[in-house]
Amino acid sequence: MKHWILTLTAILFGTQYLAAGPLSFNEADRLVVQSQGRKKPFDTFARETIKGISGRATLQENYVGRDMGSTDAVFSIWLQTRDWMNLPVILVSNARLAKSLDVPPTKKYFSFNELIDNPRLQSIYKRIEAKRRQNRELDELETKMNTVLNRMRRLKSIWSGDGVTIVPDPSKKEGTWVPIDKARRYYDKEAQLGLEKRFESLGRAYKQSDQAAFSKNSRELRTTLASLAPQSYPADGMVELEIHYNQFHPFRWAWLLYLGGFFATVFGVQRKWGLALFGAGVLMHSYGFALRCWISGRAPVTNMYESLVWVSLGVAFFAFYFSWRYRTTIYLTVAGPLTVGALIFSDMLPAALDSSIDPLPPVLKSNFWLTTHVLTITLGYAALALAGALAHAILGIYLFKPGWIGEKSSYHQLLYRALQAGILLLAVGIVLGGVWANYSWGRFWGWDPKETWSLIALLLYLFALHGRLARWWGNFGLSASAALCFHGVLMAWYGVNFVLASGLHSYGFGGGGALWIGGLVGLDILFVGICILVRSRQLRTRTVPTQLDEVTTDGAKAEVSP
Amino acid sequence: MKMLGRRRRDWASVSANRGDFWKEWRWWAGVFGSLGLAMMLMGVLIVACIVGTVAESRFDTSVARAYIYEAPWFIGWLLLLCINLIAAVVTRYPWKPHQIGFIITHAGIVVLLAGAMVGKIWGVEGNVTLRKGDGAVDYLTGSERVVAVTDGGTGEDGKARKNLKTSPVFNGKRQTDRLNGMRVSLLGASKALGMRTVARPVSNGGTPAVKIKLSSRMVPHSIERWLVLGQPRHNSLRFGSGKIRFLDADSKPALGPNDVAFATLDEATPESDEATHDSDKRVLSRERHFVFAEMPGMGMSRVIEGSPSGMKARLEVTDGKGKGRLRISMGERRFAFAVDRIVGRGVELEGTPWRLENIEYYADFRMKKGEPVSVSDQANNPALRFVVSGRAAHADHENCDHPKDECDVGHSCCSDKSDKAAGHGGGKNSPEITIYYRNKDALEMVSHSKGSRAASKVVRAGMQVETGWADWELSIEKVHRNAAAESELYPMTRGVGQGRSLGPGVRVELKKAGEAKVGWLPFERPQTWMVGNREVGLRFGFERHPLDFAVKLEDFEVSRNEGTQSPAGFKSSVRFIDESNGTASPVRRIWMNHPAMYPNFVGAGFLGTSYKFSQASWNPDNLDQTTLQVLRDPGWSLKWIGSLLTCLGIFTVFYIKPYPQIRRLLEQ
Repeated sequence: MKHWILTLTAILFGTQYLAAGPLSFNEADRLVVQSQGRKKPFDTFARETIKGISGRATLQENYVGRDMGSTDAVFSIWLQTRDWMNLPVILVSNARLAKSLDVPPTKKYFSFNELIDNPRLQSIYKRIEAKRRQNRELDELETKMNTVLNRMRRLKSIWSGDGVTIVPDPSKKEGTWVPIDKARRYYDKEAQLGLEKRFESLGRAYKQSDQAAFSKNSRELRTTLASLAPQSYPADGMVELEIHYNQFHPFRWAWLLYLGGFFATVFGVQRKWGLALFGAGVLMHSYGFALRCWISGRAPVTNMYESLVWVSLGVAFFAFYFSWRYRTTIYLTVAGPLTVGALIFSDMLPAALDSSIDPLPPVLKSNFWLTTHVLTITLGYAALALAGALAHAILGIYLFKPGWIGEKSSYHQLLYRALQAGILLLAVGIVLGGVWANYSWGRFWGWDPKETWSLIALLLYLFALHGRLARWWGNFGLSASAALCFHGVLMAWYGVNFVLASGLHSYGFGGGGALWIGGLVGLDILFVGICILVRSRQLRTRTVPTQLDEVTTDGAKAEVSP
Repeated sequence: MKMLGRRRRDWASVSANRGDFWKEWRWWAGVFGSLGLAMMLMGVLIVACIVGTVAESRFDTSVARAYIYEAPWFIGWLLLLCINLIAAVVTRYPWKPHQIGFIITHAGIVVLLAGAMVGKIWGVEGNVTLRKGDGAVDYLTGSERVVAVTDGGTGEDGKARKNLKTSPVFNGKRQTDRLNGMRVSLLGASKALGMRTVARPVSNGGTPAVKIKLSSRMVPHSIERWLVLGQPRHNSLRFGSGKIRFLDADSKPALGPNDVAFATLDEATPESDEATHDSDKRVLSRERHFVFAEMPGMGMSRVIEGSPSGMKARLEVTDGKGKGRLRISMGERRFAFAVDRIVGRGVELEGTPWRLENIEYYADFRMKKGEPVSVSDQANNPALRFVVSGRAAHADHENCDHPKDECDVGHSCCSDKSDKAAGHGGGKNSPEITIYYRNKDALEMVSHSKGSRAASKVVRAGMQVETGWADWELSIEKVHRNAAAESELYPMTRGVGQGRSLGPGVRVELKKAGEAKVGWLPFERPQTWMVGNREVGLRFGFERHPLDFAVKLEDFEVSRNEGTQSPAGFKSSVRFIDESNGTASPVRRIWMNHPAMYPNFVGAGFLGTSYKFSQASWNPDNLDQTTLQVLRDPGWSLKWIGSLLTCLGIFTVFYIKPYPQIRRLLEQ
């Protein structure tokens, strides 16, 4: 039993606690490093570095000899306790890339030296540099290669120590920090010697696995550094908060709670238990979100990771609210897999979805409209995602259990509720986007792909609603279109940045995943198509009652009565 | 269109006792306000927008704009949508309280679209690029390419002028417009204009000129050039690593063409930008080579940086098997590599500082659009391309102590200066053809390549001769005895033997009182033409919009994210100068999400009648330069009110109706 619990914990919370080696890095994690435009605890720095090099949270035994937590690994690289330049830790995960480097595509991890000696890598590197000098855009392969080059640079910068910038600039709060061996830039020889000595003993303690000395030296190194530049060193509270955020994993707790809520509703436990679990999940999710806001000092909705976390929070919130308001559990049933899936996905793919907290690009800085615009529109996506999920459930009923339709006809109404919220938020979000664009770029509307696609998504939904008003289709049609229209949202949300990759919203661009998402979208459209075919056959042979499709509106009333 | 029929019956019954005209009108209103039409309008809008975004991603923003978003049919479509919305609201009169949401929503969209229309007609949009230390700028640059025609010469303000819109896609469509009795036509367009020499026969004076044509089966088009005697810019043609000159027969050296004296004749080009030779004699040098199996004598090499390697390379095909062997000689050293084994990797030339890199193989070599390609897998014309790079002592021609002819690989090569300056490797190895002018019917052509003895031949117009460079053939097209050289703009096709492009251009025709003038207009290079005793200014470039004030950049700051070089923000400090009285405003600061208005007053932001300057972009290579987006949008308040109404309306439709108490309140 105990073994089972341990295994589960290991699966859920990574292996770092079980296999952190002989040392605890509690004190070392509290050192502060300036990296990627932000001051952060060593814990965060190490996590980002290891993710940035290997695409994984920890380094695994079969590659480096023993399982290593991120801080452990960064210390080992920094202190050069092993031949890291020859250990296979750099992720090269793309088949096309492997082909162009002339390496077996099954091999995912490479050592620094292996890569640097690859003549093809060298020639691509030269091409990238040439293009960069001429300010030309990189193609897909070069972008991928650039990621690999950045991984190599990252490893090298830790290995050489240049990347571990822990010595603060005493003159400015936003000044450039330096590594220990360059402390002379800001301090006198004595201070430099003191730091070096301290670092040396820290290294010795690490190598000898002397826990007491390691903790003591980490603590003292931190105290010394903080006392050198008290005004630019971050407050203890912020460091603790961020370490808490890193180690508590609120989003993991959230999806566990959602999963609990989902099972409670599916297996017919009382509705209130399912609701309570889901509600707790929403609270936990919001807590994590609030922590992240606090740490970054802004609303975290500027990259795909943050956006996914926020949208899944929105889905969970709407599911919880509607379930409570309309006394049903179907929302929980459909939202469960969606939120759990999204959160696991965002957690498990650090290479694709970067969870690190980075400074904002200039265009997104310090703006009230940005925050409201993005939060509103993505909340709209969330409501529409919930509607889409519910629509799929309804289509499933039509397809597999046509007999249930009479009993479950209230689902159409519930679907309409979610659509209402989504469409309103989407419309408001688009308008707010216009208001923000007017501030930021000087015009209200400019047919930018992102703008256009959000308009297309809105028009698609309006088309579906008006079509129902015109009695071109009924409840089934509305369900089918709610399922289809969500692809418009998906395109506005994901596709513009990853498929079209053009336009002014360029701060969110990235690559990858297009094939997978495209495949899933294709399958889904196929599914809806089959549903429509089956439904039309059902109607022709009159095997199911049709009165449910009756709509109680006339042309003059431009609404569907609830 | 089930709805249409139903509505017709409805209206017919409602207006049964009214006049026919009224009945008709209501029927038409019913059609225009029908749900069926609305569905169609929305459906087409959706498809058009999708096509627009795809077009933008595949081609260009301007293409999407020209064919969709700003195309007349799209604007018309939106207008139809407006009519549909208005009709839908009007035909439901008298309105009932439960329709309030519906009315607000649809009226809101109409107001929004009206605002967009106002902005489109009376608004101004553009950008302005300012440099610190430069003077004030008093015009905006738009995103549309136009041909600006100004009656009375260059300078566009205060004079009669007209903009001809050009298509973002070069389709060569003819467009015509009129200005002060003058007819302006666009006849065509080119993506790349080049400048070339033409010789026109003159009755007396002038110098001899010859038109030559070079053709090869390797490239799809031939190269035609005029060479004019005694004119430094027009008397020679560089061609790969080779060169063709046109000289007077009197200047033919008595010692024969292989003599050193040749160097003194070099009057080809005034170029003197020598490759940067510093005191360090071991400079990194890189040189690109092309070798052809079919034409062993015709390898091409070109120094990319540093100095020439002096390497000789040859591609040998070993009877149908594999890709053959690359033979290289460098000084005393000889190398041979199986091409199969070296393609795609680098290889060291042992014992020399050189290394071969970026080796690419073409089985059936052709030049296509300026790029080497292999047109098939058949080894019809095998070629190899590679770069030889290394740190070597560069050729020091000051201390050159052996004759040019002996200048072989491995030695410091005494190549002639202009060759080196132009980046041609191989020194004397580069082939040359000299055409000497004797008289109109007799030219002497002397070719000397690869240090072999010169071959001499008398040629005249209409004759075709082999150059000895691959399969290139040279033909003498025309010879003039008295000609004057002129520069001419022409549309370039990409490929071998083309010079640098001046950028895109359009072909314009000006006609006034029977006099016509036709010519090419390069991008953003204004010209003045004389037509019918009048100066006419012509500029093909981005649309300009004059302002009645000027903007001057005082300062530009870029802040960085801590500890990195990535920009955290940009801030421009500008002054606005009133051109009517020359007074300058106090310094105004503009940064991201913080625009400046001019003229500035309370509520200027809402009305949108002032010019709004927003920070748009910057130039990482010039930190004294900023680009501001400028917008004056009188429709802004309508857009704002319209979108507010729309959102409010949607809210009312969805959420007010279900609550009976609010409904009752509204129905009182």
